[in-house]
Amino acid sequence: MSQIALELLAALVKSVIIIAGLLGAFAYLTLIERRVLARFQRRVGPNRLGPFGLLQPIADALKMVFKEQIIPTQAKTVVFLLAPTISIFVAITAFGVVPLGDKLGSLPSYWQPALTDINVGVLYILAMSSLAVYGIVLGGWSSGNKYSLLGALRSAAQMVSYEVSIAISLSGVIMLAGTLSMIGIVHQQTSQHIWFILAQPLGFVLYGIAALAEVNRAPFDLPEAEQELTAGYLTEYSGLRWSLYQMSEYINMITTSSVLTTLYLGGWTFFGLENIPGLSILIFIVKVALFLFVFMWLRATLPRIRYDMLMKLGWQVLMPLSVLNLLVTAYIVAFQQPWWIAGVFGLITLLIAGYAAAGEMRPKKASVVTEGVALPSSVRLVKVESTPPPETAAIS
Amino acid sequence: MSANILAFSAVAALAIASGIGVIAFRNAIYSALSLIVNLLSLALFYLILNGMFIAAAQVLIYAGAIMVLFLFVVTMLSSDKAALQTADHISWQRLVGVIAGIIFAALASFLLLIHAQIAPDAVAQGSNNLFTQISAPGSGNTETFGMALFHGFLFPFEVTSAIIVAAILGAVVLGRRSRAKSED
Repeated sequence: MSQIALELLAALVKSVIIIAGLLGAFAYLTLIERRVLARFQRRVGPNRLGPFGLLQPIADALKMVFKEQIIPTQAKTVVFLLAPTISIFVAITAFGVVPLGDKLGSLPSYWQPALTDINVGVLYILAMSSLAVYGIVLGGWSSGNKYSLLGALRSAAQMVSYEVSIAISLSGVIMLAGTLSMIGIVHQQTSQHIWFILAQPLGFVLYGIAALAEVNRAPFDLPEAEQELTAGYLTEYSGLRWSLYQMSEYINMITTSSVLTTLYLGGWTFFGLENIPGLSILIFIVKVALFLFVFMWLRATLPRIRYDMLMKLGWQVLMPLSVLNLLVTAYIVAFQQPWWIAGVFGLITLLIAGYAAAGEMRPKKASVVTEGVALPSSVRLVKVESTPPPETAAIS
Repeated sequence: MSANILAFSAVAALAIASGIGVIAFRNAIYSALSLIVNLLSLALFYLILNGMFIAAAQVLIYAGAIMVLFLFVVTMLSSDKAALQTADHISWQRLVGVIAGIIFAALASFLLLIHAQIAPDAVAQGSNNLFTQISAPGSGNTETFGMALFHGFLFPFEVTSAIIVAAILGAVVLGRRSRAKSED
């Protein structure tokens, strides 16, 4: 009985630590992102409060707490209040199965630095992140605002489209590891002496792109595209409820980075350094931070893509490529071929796809020219009539 | 054991309440939300039965993908005129519903009274005991499920996927045709 009580206590303590850690990470990620973006744009960024602006998140939090939380008269109140809570609940819950580090010395198993290890860990994260869309859709719908609704619908379409590629590209790693448990996948990478990014470069890139779209980060932040939709589903939210949405976005980012780290970069392992007690957690955090920096880098570099390009990328590029990756990995696993065949194949496919994408991005000859304005080839006018030459020219 | 029964009762109450909500709400969006809660409580049932994989798949596919599409369509179509008309369009539906409900309740209570069980012989004959393997306690893991799906039930699985492909193709053909007509 006391064993069960101890396990419950351990679970409770670890949950509190993880939630507090995630919220703290969120607060300082906002600061880091602003500083990093400022660097990219040759600005300074927030640096007034405390050394390097380290007190800025606290000031932001205070400001958010004291802001008025407006509920529009058009809003469906219950759902409007519930929606941000769904978002943050799902975001925090999804993080529950992420293993943060190796076993800590001789401590019993329930004190090891992972909240839990369920045998369908990867599926659990996929399931929870697939629920994240409800927070956004319900928030957008219940606001009673046209722009909010449009943002919500965009988000739903985007998430459903990219979930398919996410699941299929993760299947490659699951096949190589032969387990769905997050801790099991890390152990498989140590026992097979590779990081799965070497065997699955294609799956890694595909999952990275699709996950970026799934968490609505730039360049896939169409649901909150400020030029077209004011702020999408966020338009009517203010104060703490607005920051709940921000919180869930950043926590989803952390979860995605953790999944990338665990599945492709060997989790907490780093060439035997993880055997020094306590260092495994640090290694894990550094790897996650690396991915978070890449996310900010992408935001600073890439412009937001157009909606039709988003759908085309998801269904016509990412999904066929991830099925291809799945087939090659299945061949490797079924016929017990060495892993580097899949790795070389993935790299070649990536090179070809990258070359094709670069060709696609080059400015093309405009297909329709009307009165000197060149329209991109994807824009279709309702009716294009070849105008006869003006008769005035003939007269003169 | 008592904790199991307690958990079951709580989830069952949630499932029944949300099930009533699906048909009782006048607003289509609240009905859809009730259906989501209902599907999630089904996932909780699977968890109580130790079916981890099925529970995760239930959340991922039904609550995470299918219901998102439902909600997508409902929010797009009925943002303002969400409340349905109160008049019944099919008046005999209620009568048939009541009769069917009475018949179902009678049959279920009859089976409960005579302590009916699935005959073990019939289960044992079905596809190499896979049925008993899956329904054994604590075996709801991914491997057992995969073995059952791709060895015991491979033929139904493949037939189902063929049916789904046919349905998708049909939907695409019908959608294309109506759009082509409207453009003329």
